[in-house]
Formats: sequence, C-alpha cells, structure tokens
Amino acid sequence: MSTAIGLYGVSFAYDTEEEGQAYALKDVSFEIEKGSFVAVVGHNGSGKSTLARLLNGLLIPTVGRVKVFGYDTCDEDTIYEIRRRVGMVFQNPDNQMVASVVEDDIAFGPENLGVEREEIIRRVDNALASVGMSDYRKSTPFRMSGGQKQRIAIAGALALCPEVLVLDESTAMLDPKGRAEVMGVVRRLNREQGITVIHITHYMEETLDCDRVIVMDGGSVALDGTPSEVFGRGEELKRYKISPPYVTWLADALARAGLDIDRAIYTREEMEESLCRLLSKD
Amino acid sequence: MPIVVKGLSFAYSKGTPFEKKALDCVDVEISDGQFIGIMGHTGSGKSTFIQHLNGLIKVQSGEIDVDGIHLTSARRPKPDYKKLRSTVGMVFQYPEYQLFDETVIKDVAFGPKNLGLSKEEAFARAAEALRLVGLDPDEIGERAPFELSGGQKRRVAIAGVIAMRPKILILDEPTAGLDPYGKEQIMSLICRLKRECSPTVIVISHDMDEITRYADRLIVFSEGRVAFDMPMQELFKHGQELEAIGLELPSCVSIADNLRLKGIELGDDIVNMDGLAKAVVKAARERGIECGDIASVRWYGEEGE
Repeated sequence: MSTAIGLYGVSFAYDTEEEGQAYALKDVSFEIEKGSFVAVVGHNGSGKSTLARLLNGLLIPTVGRVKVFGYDTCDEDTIYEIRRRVGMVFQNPDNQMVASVVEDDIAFGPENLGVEREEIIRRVDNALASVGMSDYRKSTPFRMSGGQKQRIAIAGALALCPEVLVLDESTAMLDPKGRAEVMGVVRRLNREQGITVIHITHYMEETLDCDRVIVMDGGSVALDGTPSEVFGRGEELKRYKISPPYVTWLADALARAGLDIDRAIYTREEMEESLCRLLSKD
Repeated sequence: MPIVVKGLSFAYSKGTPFEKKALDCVDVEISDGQFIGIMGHTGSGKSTFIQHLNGLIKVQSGEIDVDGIHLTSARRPKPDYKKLRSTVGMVFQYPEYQLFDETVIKDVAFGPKNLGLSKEEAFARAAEALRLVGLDPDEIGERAPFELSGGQKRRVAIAGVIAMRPKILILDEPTAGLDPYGKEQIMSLICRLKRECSPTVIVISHDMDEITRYADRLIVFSEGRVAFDMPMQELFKHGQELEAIGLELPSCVSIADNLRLKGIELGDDIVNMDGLAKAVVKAARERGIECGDIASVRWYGEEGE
C-alpha cells in the first residue's frame, strides 16, 4: 500500500503574546495509508485540530515535514495541488457556505481553479449524487438541517476531486440523525471511491469501524492502533481523558467486580455474546 | 410549586403562508425536585416548549403555571416576567457564544443587576455563582471571557444563569460539542447545581445513554406533541415506536432485550448502565459465580465531579 500523507518529526508552535511560542504539537510522526479510514481522537487541547490543519498546508510545521503524496506542504509551488487533493470539512455547518444556491456553492471550488464549464456541471452532478443531495441542487443551504449542510460542504470538497477528506469534528454540532447521514456518506466515499478519510471526532461510536484510531494527548500521539487495540487500554485512556463507548465502561466495571468479561469489548454484539457465555454456564 | 402546562399549542409565522405548527395541544406536569430529560428529534417542538416556560415565547393558546405565575394568551393581567425569568433559568445551546462583557465577573453579574440588585450584591452573587460552577472568581473574575478555554466559557455562561438563583434550571443540550471528559464534567456540575441551587432541572438531550444516567423521567416529543411521558421502565418497552420517531433505545436496554431473546432474563426494569450492571451481578450470583458489587458504572471515577 502506498502512503497518502506522512508526518515526519512534526512540531508546531503558535506565537503567543505572553509566553512566546506555545507548542500545540510535539514531534509527531506517522503515515496514513492510501484508502484507509483513520479516526483521530483526543480531549480538547490535545492538538487534533492543529494536526488537521497541517495535513493540507493550512499550517506549516515549525519543525519537521508533512508530505502529501510526496509533495512537501512547505513548498509554495505545490501547495495548491496539495489543497486540491486534501479536502477539508470543518465543525460548524453555517460557516462553510459561500453561495445562496447549493449548486453555486459546490461549483465555487472548481470555478476558482478555472475548470471548464461543462466539467464543472459534471462535477457538481457527481458530487451531489455522492452525498445523496441531487434533489437539492437549486435549493438554498440556509434552510437546511445541519446534516444536510455538512453533506453540501462535503460535496463542495468532492467537486475538487480530492483523494483525501479531512473531517475536523464535522459531526460535533449535528443531531444523531445528521451524524448518521454524514457518517454514512463518508463511509461510502471511502469504500466505493477509495477516498482516504481522516475523521477527527469526540464520538467514540464513530470510530468503531475505522481501520485505525490515533489518540492524541498533549500534542503527541499517545496511542495508535485498531479500535480493539486502543479501547482495550482502559487505564491509559482514562489518563488521556478519552472515554470509550459506554459498552466498554460496562465491561470495565464488570471485569473489576471480578466477572470473566473482556475489558476491551466495545460493541453491543460482543457484550451480548460475552454475557451470554458468562450467564449460560450453570 | 410545580409546573403545569395545559393544552399548549403554538405556530410560527401564524397567519402567514409560512405558518408552521410547532406545538399541538401539549399537557405536561412537572413536580418540584424532578430531573427531567426532554427528547425528540430536531423539529419535534422541544425547544419551542421550553422557551414557553420562561416567557421567551408568548402563549398563543392553552395555559401555563410556573411557580404560581400564570401565563395565558390574554394580554391582561400582564404576568410578572421579571419574577418568571429569575425563577426559571434558561441555558441555551452553545451558551458560550453569548458571553459579551469585558470581564467574566461583569458578564455573570449582568443577570442579577437586571433583576434590580445593587452592584455590590450583583457582584457577590456572581462570585458565588462562579464558585458553584467550579471556577475561582479571584483567579478568572477580571479576565476577558474570550481568553478562557471552551469548557470554562460554558461554565461562565451557566454561572450567569445560576447567579439569578433560579428554582428551575432548563438547559438545551448542555453537552453539545464537548469532548467526553467535558461532557462528564458538565453533567456532574448539573447534578451539583440541582442539589445546591436549582432543585428542578430540565435538560434537552439527544443522547439516550447519557440522559438515562441522570434523569428520573423522560418526556418524548414528536411532531409538536408529547409522544411519551411515562416511567422509563414502561417507555423502553416501546422500542419500535421510539425508533419510528428517530430515537434509539439506550444501549443497556437493547442489550437486555437481546439477551432475553437468547433465553437470559435480566429483569424488565433496566433503564441505564447502572441497572444493567447490577442485574448482571445478580444473575451471576444466582448462577453461583462470585463477584463484587457495582455501585455505579463510571469511567473517570470521582474526579469527574
């Protein structure tokens, strides 16, 4: 498998008035495989959002290198190529709309790149179909639900034909229905179109079927593995102020009471199976 | 005194082509000292409902009694809105966006000052409210609200409401957008406020697993009506109907239901994780498996308080 994005010894410091430089990221290195679905979690202030902004050159590392398909984000000649390939969707659905009609909003990106009109129309069609919003092409985004707005924002990113989508807490402000809509769309894009997804979130349920979960703490990578590897590290997770799904809380409590339950359980199905096994014994 | 709502209906843009019915003949009674969870998908009428309770929306038809204050569609006699708003504290979604003053202490003192208290009294109340939400007024009182972290800002915003010493505290999705640790802290804070300041608490939530850990009663809205208002043990027997209006059962209840299908009965009164954990312990002991007690299922231990 080839690497989509690689971070090599990346540190990032914000300039502050009082204390000089404050490091938000410290010596972070990892590679993200093309086509993978990666979740990034961490409590507020752990460096997640800074990380997101480094992935397409919105921020440039203070120390170290970020490479996107081999291009270095500090190279000004290729930065637009990087931004085209790495689309971003942010937290607040209301802050990302640039036009009052859906199709204009989605066409904004390719128009700015000077894409041919016929091609723009094709891309808008495809992008809307990919997020299941084809019926809304002439509507205004302002009266839509949060989930619909975020799908429009994703379509806006798709119109640039990106290879990577970075979602920076894009589900945080949505209700459960909106979250399910957005996650459904993103999973499909990952599976059917092979788009690499980096999903930053506080909702642990959204990380359960990811290929990989990266836990950030204090500006560094604290844990990095599959969901079952990560959620099995109970005591460490507590230290990083991460809370796994409620099912893992329950498994942890039952195991501590001395019952034969695996602490790393994180899905309902596994919990049901373990309880069945435990309580079927006579 | 309790809250009594009778036959409350409301339509937005009434009398225009955009008229949209938001509440349809809602009857609800809430006794003092309850912790109420209000649920329903977006557009079900729950926000419209709570905004009636402190007079932010005027009654179109039906009537409301809140702590002896009577609200109807009649213009006269005019209800005592000042008293109503000091009785019912309202914390909106993302309340930190509403901080506006130069310093934290001035921001929190704004409410009590508007109630007509002197500057000294208002500041004393503000300091007390900040302490109640776990912030040190000496340390952050003179700072600009915008310098604080997101979690601190939300606490300051809640303090601004608490400073009016409301008997009834209403919060619209108080944990929205917070990380799991921040959520846990805000929910523990709400429990403390209920104990020490505002005995009746009404929380709008979208998270069944979260709200069932705290609430003693759930009211479910759908399409402007109260769809369910019954003890949670009863409510969770209506899984399919809840699903039809966009709500999932708490995961503990679905686990117990699925185990029942496999022939393992844990009891039908499980409404939250604590209940499920206790039922599992009991069932294990009945089968001769030794294990300790579980007081409550928590992740962060006591430090979440």
